Amino acid sequence: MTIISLSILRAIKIKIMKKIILLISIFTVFTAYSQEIILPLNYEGSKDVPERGYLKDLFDVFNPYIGTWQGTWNGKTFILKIEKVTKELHSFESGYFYYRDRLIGKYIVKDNATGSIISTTMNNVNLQEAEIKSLAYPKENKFEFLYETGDECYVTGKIRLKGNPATNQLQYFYFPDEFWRFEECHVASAAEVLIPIPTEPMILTRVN
Amino acid sequence: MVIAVSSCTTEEDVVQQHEHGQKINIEKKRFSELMRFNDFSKAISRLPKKKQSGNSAGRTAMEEQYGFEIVDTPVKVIEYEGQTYYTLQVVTDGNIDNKLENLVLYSEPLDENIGYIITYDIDKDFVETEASVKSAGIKDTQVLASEGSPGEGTGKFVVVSSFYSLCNGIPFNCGGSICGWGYSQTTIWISDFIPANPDSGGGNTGGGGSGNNNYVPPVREPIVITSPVYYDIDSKDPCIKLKTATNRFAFRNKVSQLNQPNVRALDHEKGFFETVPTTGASPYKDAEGTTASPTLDSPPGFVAFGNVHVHNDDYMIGNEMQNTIKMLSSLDVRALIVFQHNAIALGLDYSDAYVMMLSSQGNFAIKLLEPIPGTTYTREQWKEKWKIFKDEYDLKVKALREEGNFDSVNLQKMLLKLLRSNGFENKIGLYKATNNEATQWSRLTIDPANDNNFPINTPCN
Repeated sequence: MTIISLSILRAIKIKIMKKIILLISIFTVFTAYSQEIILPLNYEGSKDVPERGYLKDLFDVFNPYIGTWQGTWNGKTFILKIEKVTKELHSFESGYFYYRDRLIGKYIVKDNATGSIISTTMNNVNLQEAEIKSLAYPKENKFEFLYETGDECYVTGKIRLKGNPATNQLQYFYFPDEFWRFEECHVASAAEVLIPIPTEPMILTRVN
Repeated sequence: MVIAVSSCTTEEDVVQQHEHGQKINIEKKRFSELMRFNDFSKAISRLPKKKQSGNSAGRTAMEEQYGFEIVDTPVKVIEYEGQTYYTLQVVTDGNIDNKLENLVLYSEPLDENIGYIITYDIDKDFVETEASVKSAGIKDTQVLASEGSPGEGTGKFVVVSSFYSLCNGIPFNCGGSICGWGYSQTTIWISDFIPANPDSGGGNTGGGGSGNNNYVPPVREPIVITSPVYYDIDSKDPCIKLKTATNRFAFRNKVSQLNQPNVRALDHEKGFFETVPTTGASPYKDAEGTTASPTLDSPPGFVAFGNVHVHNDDYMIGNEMQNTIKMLSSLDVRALIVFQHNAIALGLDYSDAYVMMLSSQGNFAIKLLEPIPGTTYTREQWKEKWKIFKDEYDLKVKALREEGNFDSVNLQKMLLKLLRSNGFENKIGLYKATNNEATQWSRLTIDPANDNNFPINTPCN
């Protein structure tokens, strides 16, 4: 009788242990599957970012650029506020997705003579509304940003910030992208499309 | 050597000459479809057998026996006075000068003759329209009998051409407001083929010939009724479309003018757009940026279905180097989708839309593999979708540049992978020109075994 009870108990114990192991395995797989794969910013290039990859600013290379920068050109003042966005989701129709840290820029363009604001994106709160977004990462004291207008003509270009941000001064350059006037862009020529940000080289100084 | 004497006549003339009271109808059918019909399969079975040659790569047993390859174009079927004439495009073993060759078979033998091989005096890769085939004329013919080798061909060739004219219904009058585009017109032209005067030195003398005045040409019978068969102009195959479009004479000239080092060395882009003109004007519109506004600007009011443009070599803006991308841009992808809408609005097909880019690292094109967006997306939704595509494109390009792998192969892989992740893999095809004239093309695709390998290169044959 005692022998039978012991064997039943052992069987129950094994059964419970198996269930625990199974639960732990499921939990481990689920956790591993749902977790992102953290990668340095410079992982990207000829290699593919894996699904659930997270291009993270592990070495804080973005931080020196964060802040407010200001410069003047053609009687106007350009104030550029650079902020860091973490874990921006990039998802695609194929189901593939990954994350990346990124800098975004908000700006004000003021008329120096009147003090009036010509253009501003300072009130944009959604990431999707950002007209200035960093591309890749800074290298050899050069950092490029994508600029895109929010209007129907959708002009795009690249902003290049050159110099060591620790000096609190950066050179600013603008390079226009290809631009075609599609149906929704009602201007007579590309030259008529308003680009509010500076399109000429200038010096930006950190003000905050 | 034979002499081609071609003359132009009208369908009515031919009908009068041969006392025929019926119209000539041309039908296009697939080879495989025709093989199910007795008349055609019998006509094929009458072809003389040829000894096996060493060159058997990629051929069927039948083609090997006859010493030619049948090109995958539709067969033109002409029924006339109880006889059926089948015309197929072929490439014979002896075609060393790359001329367009057609095989004409009869449903019933005419005397001992079962058909002809006609060689047109035009490159098979440089066919624009049947009008150009007509103007080039016939170079050579070989008569086929059921026994023995092909002989020198003689006969009266009635070539039925259905070709596009620039004239609005008035042949050969392209002036004034009557001009339109794409008017389909059927004409018939007749070529008499007589062997060259053996004493004339073997040259083409034309018009009935000079040389020995006592030379009497042989009887020029039978009459062969055919219609030129070349690339399938009705095909939606982007390879065929691209090859046909880029081999057009005027198009090639325009590409040649752009495909020059001095154009790539400019500090702004040059290119041209293509449309279907409504007033007989040129279908092409040149476009050029400026130093101040370097990128190409689409001409206002010009509804384009295609574009060719140059991506310049790296150049300086002020003291800063502008590193250009020698690959089709994200904007080019968006333009292709817009061109699809325009092509349909212009009465063309989605498969006519194209964007082509010339650069120092190769000439590339994108074509639609199937119509998009269909009913799934509005134009505005496409714009939003494209913004995501552009953002990712710019990120990848920048990352490649910072990594030091900013070469053409990596750019090709990048674009192909981006098309895939954005759901365009089976919708947009990437093509690379395999010759400097950008008239021969290969399709580039991701290697399914390992997408980090070089892209797979499939020639557009």
